[in-house]
Amino acid sequence: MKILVCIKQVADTESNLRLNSSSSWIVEDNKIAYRMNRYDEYALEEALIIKDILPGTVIDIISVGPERAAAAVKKALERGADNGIHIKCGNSALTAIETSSVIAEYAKDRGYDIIFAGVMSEDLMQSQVGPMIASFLSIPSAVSVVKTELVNNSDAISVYSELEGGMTENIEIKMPCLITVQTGINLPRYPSLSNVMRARSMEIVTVDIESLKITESYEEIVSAGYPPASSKGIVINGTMEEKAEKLLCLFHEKALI
Amino acid sequence: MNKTKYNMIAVLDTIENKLIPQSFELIAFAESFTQGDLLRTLLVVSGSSVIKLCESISENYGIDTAALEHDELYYPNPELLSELLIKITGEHKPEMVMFTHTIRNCQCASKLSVSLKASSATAVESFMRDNEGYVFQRSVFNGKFKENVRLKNPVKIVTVLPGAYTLTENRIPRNSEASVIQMKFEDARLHVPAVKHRGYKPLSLSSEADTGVKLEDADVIISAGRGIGKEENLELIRDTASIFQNSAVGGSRPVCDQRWLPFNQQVGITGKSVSPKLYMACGISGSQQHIAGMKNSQCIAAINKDPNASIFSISDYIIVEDLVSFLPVLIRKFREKYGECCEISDHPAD
Repeated sequence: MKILVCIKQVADTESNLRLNSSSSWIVEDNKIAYRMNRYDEYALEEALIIKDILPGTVIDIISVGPERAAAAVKKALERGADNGIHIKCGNSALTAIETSSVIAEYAKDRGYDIIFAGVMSEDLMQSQVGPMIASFLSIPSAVSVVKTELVNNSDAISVYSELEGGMTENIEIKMPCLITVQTGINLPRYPSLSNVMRARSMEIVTVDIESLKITESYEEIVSAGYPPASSKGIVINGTMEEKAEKLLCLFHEKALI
Repeated sequence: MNKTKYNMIAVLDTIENKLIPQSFELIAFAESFTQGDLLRTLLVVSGSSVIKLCESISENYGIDTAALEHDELYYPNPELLSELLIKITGEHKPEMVMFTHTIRNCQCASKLSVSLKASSATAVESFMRDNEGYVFQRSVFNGKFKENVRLKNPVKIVTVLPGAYTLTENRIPRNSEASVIQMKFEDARLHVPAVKHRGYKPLSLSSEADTGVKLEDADVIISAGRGIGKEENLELIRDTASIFQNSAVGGSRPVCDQRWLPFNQQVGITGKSVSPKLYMACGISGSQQHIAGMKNSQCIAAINKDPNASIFSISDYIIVEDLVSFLPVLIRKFREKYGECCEISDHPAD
């Protein structure tokens, strides 16, 4: 089995994110922590689980992003992936069509049986890159998958796609295919010491984005802004004890306690 | 056959031939987008047998409606649906194709976008018109920021976030002549090259069985988010729940992903939608998908150590504290003040 896992390095939303002075994008400085997109961690783990079952499996990791994105590829190698590919580009806010077109361009003719991706990125939240890659490659895709089962002696995989409202749909999908993974599908492993040591000596293949055919974006980010400040909320101030008392008082007034 | 060229197509998708509840919000979006002129808007209802449904929609709303029928559309089948839509869109060349924002519709939007070279934006919350066209607003970075995206190409595709638009209940159909079109597809008649590649077969649907607790029935829900840090701290959430009558414990997606709470206690688009008298969000940052599942609560109290947490934007009571230190104080204060006169239930539902 040959698997490609698409990962994105994203700014940690818990770190100090601010908009730049022209409100065009976030400030990218050393106050921001970057990490692997959480959804992609689950996608990677799902590939590693297949490799546990079918030991001959080869897992390639691909990430499109600026210089720093190589760190996320390295992390994936430490978890047990076999090869890392970093498609380097200057722009850290590529649109879905741009990102998916270069990944598809790289992946075509390389014979991947399954391409995994997270269901969305935590920064742009579009849920589009996965199905767009599948569309460029003319392969079927299943999205928001919460369970996969290999089918014996078959080129099909049984997947469970999560619909909204707590429903799941069982789908049979034929390889080659693309699967976007929802969180909770598995419990991502910690890197083993031996894999961390192995990853140290592994070279990441760097590809300049200019060398690949990219579909020019159909969209343009005009500006960004903060959501409107809360208008109705009461901020409860004071010491922790005072806050607790005030809150209980408010609950009491509303006959909640 | 109807000869109208539609410039706007709104796709109302069904599950087992029943409309999803948010479908009507899409009509509201279409109405807003066309400034009330829906004469060149076509509602496309997909399913395996939806002609009756289309007749009632067309009659109630006065909008032309097409039944897009295929045996394999009984269960959601975004792969097939997008192929059929590519065909329809090719005929009508609309300016806009719109969907309700669901993950499977993002899949459709993405496939349409690649095939038709159409601009697309998912989870849009609003739009603005300017002299260069349209700019759509959507949330990014887990709701910390909004971005404004211009869709540049002639064909535009959007998925509209549930809750962003609401249909006025007493809408009077403006076009009493609205027609119903039947589009029945069988594979043999579909000359779309992609069909032969289709290795996608929906088999069945299932809902997670509810065991015991009904989050929906609780008056008070105390919900835990990633901020609880470790599973043991769920005890604090349970203890807090115990100070209220008819209370239950809920959680955000990350807590359920960790298996600290079962998935049927998850609140959000992908879990339960709740509207209790009090929703207390503890250590929940407030992702869009979570907020959509609880924003209709009558009273929302949020405890988070991050003063910029998005949950605060919809909260009635805001407490900037680490829940691990704050909740024990809250429970102690409750016992000091109300402990004697209130009966504390020993076994809150969780």
